Amino acid sequence: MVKIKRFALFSLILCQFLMMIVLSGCQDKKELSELSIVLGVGIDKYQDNYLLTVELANPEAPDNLGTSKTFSVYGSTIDEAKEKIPFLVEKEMFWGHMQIIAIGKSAVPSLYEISEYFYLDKQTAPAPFIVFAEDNSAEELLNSEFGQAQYFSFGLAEALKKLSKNNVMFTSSVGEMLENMIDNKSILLPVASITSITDEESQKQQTAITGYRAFLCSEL
Amino acid sequence: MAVILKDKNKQDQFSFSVDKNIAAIKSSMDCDMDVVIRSFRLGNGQKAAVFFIDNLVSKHILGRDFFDPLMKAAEEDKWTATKLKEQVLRMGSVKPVYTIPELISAVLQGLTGLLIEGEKCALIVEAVDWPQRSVQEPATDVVIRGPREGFIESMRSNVALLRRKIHHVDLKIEQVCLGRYSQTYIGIVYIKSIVNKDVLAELKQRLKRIDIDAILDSGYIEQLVQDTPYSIFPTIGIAEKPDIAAARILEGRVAVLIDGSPIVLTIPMLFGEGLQCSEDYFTRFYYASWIRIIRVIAYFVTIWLPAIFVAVVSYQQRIIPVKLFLSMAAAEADTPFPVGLALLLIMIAYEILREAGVRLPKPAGQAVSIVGAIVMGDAAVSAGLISAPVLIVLAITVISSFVTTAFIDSSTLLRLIFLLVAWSMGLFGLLIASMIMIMYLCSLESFGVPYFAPFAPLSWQGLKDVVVRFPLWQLKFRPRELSLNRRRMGNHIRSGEHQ
Repeated sequence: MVKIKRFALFSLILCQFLMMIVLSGCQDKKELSELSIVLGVGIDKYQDNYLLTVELANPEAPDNLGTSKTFSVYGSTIDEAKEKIPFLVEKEMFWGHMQIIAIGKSAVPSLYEISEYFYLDKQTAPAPFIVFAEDNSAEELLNSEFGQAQYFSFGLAEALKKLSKNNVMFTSSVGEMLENMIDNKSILLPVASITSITDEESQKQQTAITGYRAFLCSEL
Repeated sequence: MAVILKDKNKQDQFSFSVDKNIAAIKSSMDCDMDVVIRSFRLGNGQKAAVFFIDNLVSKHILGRDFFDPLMKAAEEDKWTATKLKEQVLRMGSVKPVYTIPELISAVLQGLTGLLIEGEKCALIVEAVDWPQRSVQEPATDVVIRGPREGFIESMRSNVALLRRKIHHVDLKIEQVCLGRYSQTYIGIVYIKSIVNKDVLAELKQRLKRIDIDAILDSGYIEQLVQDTPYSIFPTIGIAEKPDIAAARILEGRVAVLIDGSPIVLTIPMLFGEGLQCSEDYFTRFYYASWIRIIRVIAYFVTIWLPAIFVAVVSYQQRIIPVKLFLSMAAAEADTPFPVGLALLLIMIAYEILREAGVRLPKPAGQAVSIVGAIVMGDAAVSAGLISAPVLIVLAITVISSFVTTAFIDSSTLLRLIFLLVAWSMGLFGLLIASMIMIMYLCSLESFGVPYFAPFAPLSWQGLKDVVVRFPLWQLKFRPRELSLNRRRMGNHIRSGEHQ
């Protein structure tokens, strides 16, 4: 009986050990210092080509969260544009903490394709906020500043989160927006626009949340 | 118990002549500088000799209660051993021995032998007095509320400390002698009416099998009698204070006292014991339960925190909140080592510092700690060798390890294993490794008692005194695994119900 028990225990431990080796993916290991963290994405469309603008966090020192950099690339599809970005930066792209998807006015007709792409893309964070750049392009928006935040997308997302929590503003995630579009319902997006104020230090333009814009699905 | 110096034969027997007996003793053992054999005459002129080891006996007691009455004893023409024992010697403990090896063995333990002309036996009297430490508070198991006395190296004193806690007639102390050369006395202490007889029999059996040159500390016995010698978990409990040992004996355990060791072993050990502290029972149960929960958290923190940190930072970055993720990324930006390697190196550095601090004299140890703290804490971060989050994780882990001192050895090794698994296989690997650990814990036994009780096998009564501590009046039963005589209190009336 003791021998059977020992054999069972040994077999169980062996199975677990094999599972550990076979199923775990050490190839998925990513060092923090080797990651380029994508915080926000802006999408514009010019003559059937997408202009994808990404805001990358550039953390520097322990006492300083660092600054952000933006890169813009063209592609016939979002995926094609996205695949070009790694050629511009030395580190591996990390999309897991993407906070914002800014949609330029020119990209509104492709809102369904955009939301479907980001909804199905498993690399990106599950629920980034979507904002509509009504008076500017998404590229301009991502190159501006939001209040005193070090990262534009992070600052904007935090502000939207706060407004949504206090029931001041309605926000929707990619999934919710896609669901509304499939059900032929209207969708409501927060609008962010560049204001006339310019930051003296960085000489960058300031962005503010200016209101809502409702879209009827028939318009899209 | 007797030392077998030579085969028991006629030469081992005493003769009627003191001189012949002295010659026999001298032929049986080399009389070193500290061996004293002195002939003298009793008050009636009868020849006698005293045999003892210098510095192990009190010369004051010998002079007052031994030599003085013996040299004045002139009432009888011929004194016999029995008459001397009954009428002359003033010592409390006097007993006859009938062979020379028995006499030598007793003398080597610190007793004094008396040889009398015309008697085929010797008397053993007790006038022991050797240098020993006074009863002090031990370095570990320090309490704010509760008894402060700790065990010392003398087994006799330790037995006395236990006797002072449990006055009942059922408290039994059995003595065995182990070690070919050390001839160390081992005391087996238990309460006859409570103890688990199977455990006691098994312990005696295992002790009997020990055949080793010397037993220099309780650690020898611990390693030689434990169920799973290759286990990293301790399966034999230790106690440095009589109140802890007494409490465990009262639960049905057996205490093993080793002469020369201030650490008492308690058998069997359950995993939950490592989470308990004597002070839990001296404070109110709300606070005691809260502290127990803190201890459980600290145990998990000390074995899992570095592993979880490495797994999350290297594999599951998405579960870290963005703000924390950004500040961690900022901290890690300039460090040359991967997080796992940095944590491993800093853990090794800490172990070296700890070992150096423990072994060195106190003032030097403190200096090492300060240098280590400055070098590791400040310079390494400033130089960009390691990041501040790694250092914080190490600090929390190390501080947590001191909360459950019973598991400090095993948790150090487990921490290292889990760290390596998490570094190479992420959270999934960590989960599987943890499952293996729990399965292994469930399979362990301590003297036939399931080590992981009362979790596995589950016992609701037992759970009342592991992660939380129920009020004393609800702890009516001893742990099921430890004693068959389970009820430990009557139908106690809670305080407040007396009116």
